[in-house]
Parts: sequence; structure tokens; C-alpha cells
Amino acid sequence: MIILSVDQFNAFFMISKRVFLYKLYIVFTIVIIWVLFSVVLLYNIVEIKREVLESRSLSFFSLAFAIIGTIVVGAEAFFLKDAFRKMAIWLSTILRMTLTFLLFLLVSIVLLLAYWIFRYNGELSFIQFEKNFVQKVILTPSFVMVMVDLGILSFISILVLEISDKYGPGGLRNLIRGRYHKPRKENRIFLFLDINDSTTIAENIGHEKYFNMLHDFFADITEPIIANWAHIYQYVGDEVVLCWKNTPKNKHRCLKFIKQAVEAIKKKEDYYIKEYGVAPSFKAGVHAGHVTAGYIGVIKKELVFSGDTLNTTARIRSKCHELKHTFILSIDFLHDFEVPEKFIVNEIGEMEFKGRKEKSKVYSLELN
Amino acid sequence: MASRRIIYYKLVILANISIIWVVFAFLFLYNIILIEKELVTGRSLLLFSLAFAIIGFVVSAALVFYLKNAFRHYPFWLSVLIKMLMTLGLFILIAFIMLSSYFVFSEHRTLNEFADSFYKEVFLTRGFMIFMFDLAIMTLLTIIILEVIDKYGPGGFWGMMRGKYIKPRLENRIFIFLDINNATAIAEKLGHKEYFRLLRDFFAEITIPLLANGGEIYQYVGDEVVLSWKNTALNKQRCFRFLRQSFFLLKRREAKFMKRYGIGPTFKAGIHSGEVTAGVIGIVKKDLVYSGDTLNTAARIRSKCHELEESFVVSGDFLHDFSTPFAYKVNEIGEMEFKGRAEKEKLYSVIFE
Repeated sequence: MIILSVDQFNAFFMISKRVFLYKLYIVFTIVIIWVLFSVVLLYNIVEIKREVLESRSLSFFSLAFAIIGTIVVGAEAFFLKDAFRKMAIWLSTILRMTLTFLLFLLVSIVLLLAYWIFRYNGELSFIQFEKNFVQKVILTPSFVMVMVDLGILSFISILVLEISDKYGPGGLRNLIRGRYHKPRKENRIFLFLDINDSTTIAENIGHEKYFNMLHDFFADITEPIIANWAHIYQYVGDEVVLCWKNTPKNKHRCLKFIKQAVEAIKKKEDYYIKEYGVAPSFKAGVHAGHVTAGYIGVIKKELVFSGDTLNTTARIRSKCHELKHTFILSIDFLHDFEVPEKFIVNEIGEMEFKGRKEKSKVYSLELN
Repeated sequence: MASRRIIYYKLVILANISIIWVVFAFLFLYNIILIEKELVTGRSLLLFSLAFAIIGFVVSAALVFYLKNAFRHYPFWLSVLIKMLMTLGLFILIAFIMLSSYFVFSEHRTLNEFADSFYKEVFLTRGFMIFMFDLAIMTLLTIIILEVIDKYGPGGFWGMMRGKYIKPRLENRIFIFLDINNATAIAEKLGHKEYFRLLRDFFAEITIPLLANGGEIYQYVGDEVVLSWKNTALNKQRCFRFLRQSFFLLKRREAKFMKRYGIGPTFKAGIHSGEVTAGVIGIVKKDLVYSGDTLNTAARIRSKCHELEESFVVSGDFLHDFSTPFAYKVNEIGEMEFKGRAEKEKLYSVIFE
């Protein structure tokens, strides 16, 4: 029995709807793979051992395996994946496969038990049933086959989870749909986010510890990222670049993201001070405009955004230090956008934008 | 002239995928053999596994060496479909040839008889259909694995599996920041989409010398690409060789670029080496990240290229403990402040002779 502390319990139910949906979506995708495989494999198996499966239909088994798949993958995506984050993948794979295997065994026994109760309804004693079950099902070669097949499926599930993390939310789908196989012009919001005083912190606590802090920091802002539908474009040194499609709704989400990220880091302030001696804070520059998006590279294929918008955003972010404001928005971002009441926006200065004759205004964002 | 390194790289991928094929073929075939005993009476599992190792090898070799790049500009799902159809055709051909040779050699009958019985006894059976389906899944899996390996870059996938960077580690690395000359002017002249295509072709061209010299692509930052090697004397030499080969390769391709875009791209590069912290960062988008001043310095050296009017600028740290091969001429050209150092450091230019 796993006992959750109140904190963990809250943390689990507090995860935002969007994070939950994102994980559910991944689970759903992998379950489809499971069902497809189980149809193929079970069709083979059904053909082999007619005596074992006699009158049980293929669809019944597919359904059973869809259920098992959902439970196993759900456990993977929601609990196991994060629990073994700090371990090498091959090691965590073995551990997770053992765990999912046990889980599978448990689930299948429960399913069979249910089947027995409804099917035989007391005509057969459970001991007899169990004896039958062990002799006729577990000890047959086809059951071992199924187990091996399921082991492979679990392994594939773990790999798919890992790989979808490499691509980031929506990345895999964009690749399959071929959305960017030809370069396309897009209007996007960019947010450059940077830890304050990173050089000083790195010098004080050492590079390895600093890197761990960076890792924790990015982990903590992950939830606001997913909750506000941001796309993580890339990590450049200690900086992370987020982007959205340029719509008023996404502009609102972008501001909400900043607010939630500040809160998320504040909530863990004690942890950071205990672990690293400093609590990180961050600055951000926000800008919107046209970029060309497409895949680049043959042996390392990446989705790349190219254009002056990105350089300008980086320059706006670097203005934070100069103008002594934490969050700076460009006029292009605020164009056609009514700032919600929760956020206060003040004009703080002007700056040159490449390719424009006149200077453009920049604004600060205050949270309250 | 594909270099040995590139063939080696592709062969490693090929070997890995062939192993996966054998494992799966073993599993699938074990199922199949149990199903359709009448189809495969007497033939041993070992023989079939071997046969499918060969088929898997041929199919994935076709994918790795030819088909992979052939449909690069199509949407992924479409290219997968085309590739699957082609490999399936290839597979049927190979299976037919192998089975017919087996038939002719072991049973000493004519090919005509064989063709007849082939259709009736093999091709139209349910076992064969299931089998084809299994193989289609294998092919799909192969294509996806190839795509994923591309995303991780050479060595990246196994690095991830082995958990090489689970804990951050201090590494001494060489970095090259490489950039197209006059990017803004070219972009304005060509328009952004055309410019992007040029960029893509440019990076595709320099991939070959990069692979040949064992370099890794760290990141694309805007129009810039960051390349990296471990800091050893041999890799320094490779690094120089990469610059030289890319330079001359682009010269050779100039006519092609002129025809397509009206411009022959040239590039500038800044080279620096030093210690960085390497580790995996991110939860929903994991990436290997190098962090440290070395990278910022390398970027600043690259931006010095313009100022000093040199194509290739190298830092003193890189040249430390390294005797320059005779085909390269290195000249001192200036000084630059490095973060955290009291004195200015010397910069050098590289010219190919």
C-alpha cells in the first residue's frame, strides 16, 4: 500500500486540467498501439492454440488488452515515468518493465476472476477454476508467448514516452502531419526567459550544482508551460525560448504563463534555498511577429524558426537588465490586445527594431 | 565520394535495426510456424530466422542508404506510405527469389512448377497474409526508428538510453559557431521562404564533412549552427579538416546554388574550446544542453569574424597544445576580452593553403 502524504495528494489532484489532458492524450495514443499489436499478436495466438481459447472471440480479447494497456500505460505516464527520472533509461526500463509486468499479472488475474464470477456464477468452485486456470492457461507455451509479447509492448510504450518527450508536446504530431515539410510563414509570439544573475549563481555554487538548479527550475515551470499551451522552442544556454501562435487568446495565455511561473517558483522558494542557497528568479522579454518555420538538418532534424522577430525578442530580453524591469513586452505584442485587468502594463521606453526607421515602444509588465 | 566514416555511421544504424528485425522475426515466425504447420512443415525456425535476417537487412539497407533521403520534402505520413509500398514490393521480390532458389536446389524441380505451387500453397494462404502484415509493421517500425535517430543525432539515442547525461558532467569540448555570410542581405533578396530553403540545403551540404570528421551538431540557433567535438588533439585536427572540406565542398557546389538561388553561400566560423557542464534538461521537451561561458565566448569569437574581416577565427585556447598541420596557415590577428580573465586573449585567423 502506497501512502501519499497530504502534499503529494494535493499535488496530484492540483495538476491542472491541461496537464492531465496532455498526459491522457499520450496514454490514449499508446493504447492505440497496444490494441493494434494485440490484435496482430492475438490473432496469431488464437490461430495457434484453439484448445486454450476455444470460443473466446478476438474482440473480447482485444478489449481485455485495451483495458490492461490503459492501466499499464496510465501507471507509466502518471507515476512511474517521473519516479525514475534520475536513472539511466536502460536501468529504469528494466525496473519499470518488472513493475508493469507485475501490474499486468495482477490486472489479468482480477479480470479472469471477474470473468469466472460472471461466466460460471458459482457452478465451478474457485479452487477448481484456479487449478484449471494454472494448468490450462499459465503453463501453456502460448501464455508465455503472450507474456513476451506484452513485455515487448511495455518496452515500446516506455520508448514512445521517452521519445515524445524529446519532441515536446505536439512535436511528434506536427512531424507526422508534415506541417512544416515545406517552410511556412507564421505569426508567432516569442518569450525569452532567463534566470537572473545566472553567472553569479554559477560561480557561487559551482557548475554542477548550478546545472541541477537549472534542471529543477525548468522542471518547475513545466506545469505552467503545459497549462498555457506554450511550445518549448529551444534551450539556448541558460535561456529557454517559448512560443505560441499569435492570437489574442494566446497573448492572454502568455501573460498567464508568466504569472503562474512566478508563483510556481515562489512556492518552492524554501526548497531552493535549502538545496542551493539561493532562490532563482527570472526575467523575460516578449515579442510577436512573422517568422519562417521549417525543418532543418539531415542527421539532426529540428524544427527551426528563422527571422528577425527572434533576434528582436532576444534584444528585448537583454533590455530587462538595462531598464531594470523584470518583464518587458513589445508594442507588437500589445497591438490589438486588451490587457486583462489582473495585469498592469506601463510604457517604459523606446528601442530600435531592425528594419524600422522609427523607434518602437516597449512596456513593462507588473503582476499583482 | 562518401567517406568511410559516413558508411561506418550508416552501417552501425543498419546493424542495430537488423538486430531488431531478427528479434521480431523470431517472435512473429514462432507464432506463424505454430499456426500454419502445413505451410512450413520441416523447415526449421533457425532457417527462417536467418532468411528474415537477410530480408530485414536488405529492406533496411535500402531504407538507410537510398529511400530515407529520397522523400525528404514530402509530409511524413506520405513518405512513410510510399516507402512502405516500395519496401513491401522489394520484400515480395526477395522472398520469391529466395523461396524459388530453395525450391529448385532442394527439390530439383522446374521453376514453372514452382511458380504454380507458390501461388496456390504459399501466396494465397492466410498464414502468408498475416506474415505480410507483420512485415509491414516491421517496416513501419524501421522507418520510425530511422526518423527518431535523426532527431537525436549521431550517438544521441544511445547516449539517452545509457543515461550518459542523467547527472550533469564537466566536459572539455571544442565548439564551432558557423554562420552564412550576409544572411540578412540574402534573406531580403530571396524572400524568407526561399532563404529558408537555401539554409536547409546549406546545412545538408555540410552534413557530409561533419559526419566524415566525427563532429556532432549541438544546436541550430537562428541561422547559425553550433558544432561540437570532444577536446582532443585528434579532434582539433578533424575540426580544421571539417572547415577545409566544407569550404571546398561549397565551392564545388557553387554552380548548383547559383542556378537554384542566384547566390553561392559562403560561411564564417568562430572556434573555441573549454570546459562546459553537459546534462539533460527539461521534462516535456528533453534536450542535451551544454552550459558555461565557453559557449558565450565562442559566439562572441564568431561575431568577431565580421569585425576583423576574417572567415575563420580561432581562440588561443583552441591552439594551445596543438601543432597546426602544414596545410593550414594560422596568423595572429587581434585580441579580445574573455569573461573572468584579467588579460586579453589572442585571436588567430585560419587560411587554407
